[in-house]
Amino acid sequence: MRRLSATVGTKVMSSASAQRVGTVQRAVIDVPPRRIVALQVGRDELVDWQAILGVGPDAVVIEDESRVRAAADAREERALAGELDWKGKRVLSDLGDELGTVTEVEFDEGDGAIHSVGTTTGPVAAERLHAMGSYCLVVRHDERQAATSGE
Amino acid sequence: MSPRQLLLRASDLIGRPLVTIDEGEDVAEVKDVVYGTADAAVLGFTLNRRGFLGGPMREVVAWSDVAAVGRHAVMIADAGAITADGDLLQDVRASRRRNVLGSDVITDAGQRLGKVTDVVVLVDERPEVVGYEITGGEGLKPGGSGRVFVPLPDTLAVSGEALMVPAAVSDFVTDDLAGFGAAVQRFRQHLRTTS
Repeated sequence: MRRLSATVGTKVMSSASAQRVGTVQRAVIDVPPRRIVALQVGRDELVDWQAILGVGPDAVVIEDESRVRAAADAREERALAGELDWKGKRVLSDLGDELGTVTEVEFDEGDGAIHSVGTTTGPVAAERLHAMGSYCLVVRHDERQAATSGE
Repeated sequence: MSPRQLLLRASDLIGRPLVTIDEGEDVAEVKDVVYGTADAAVLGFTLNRRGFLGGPMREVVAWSDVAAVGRHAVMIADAGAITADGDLLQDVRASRRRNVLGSDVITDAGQRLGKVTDVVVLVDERPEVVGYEITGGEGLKPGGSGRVFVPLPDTLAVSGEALMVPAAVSDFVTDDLAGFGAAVQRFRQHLRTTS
């Protein structure tokens, strides 16, 4: 399991050329399927998760430079513009109650699956993640978290 | 609708964002609450656009298309819940003539309790108006702030002029919204046992 905040900022290396191709700027995460689908590695550059060989403490290694690509659709463009950034995003339950903001994303470095999301009112398991938009992250209501968020 | 019950002032709902559950976007915000003609039902909301270019929208959202009303947002399944056709637009026009805010509340014993300053809505499977917040009432029990909550009978005729309530209501007035749900129930129980 790895923290997204620790992966952002690490260098991105090409396995084919052993050269640096960029730095992890942000992750593009889709809900569903609740996993990292791509990493932004440069100004307008993305690498699909499938092209990533390894996510380690010191570097993210990709197959080769040819796997670096531009945004392919509107949602990816919004992601690169920072509209869908997780950190600091408002968290809203499907019952319409705010549950603070996102502080951290924990993911499986093997397959990019989101394990849990840290919020200012406690962790949210991936199963509760419902949708991510520019306004908020929608999560399924949970009595225990509702209690700790001071309702 | 969620099984959870929630007591709200209608004014608290105004300005609350309408958020899509499928995309997490704030697609509109509540402009006003639309009430029913015959009974105290809540039919839906009129809407404003979000943001600083905001302004009234032609579209409305019917209560049946609201997934949940929470403490911070009104949730809808998707943007399709917002519609510019259907019966609700007729109800919106009709309800404009029945604005209760500012109306006098008068008991059937001829005592004026005060002026309506807000509407208390019980959010439930079938949301309804269960009371009014009134100010300026003389001789009402909790006194102090001059602002109290008056429970309504479960059937009530609303005219444009004034609101007639049974005299017994003054025994069930409270100045605390948290305890108001219980006051409404006791008052309605009282009306059933004495009629």
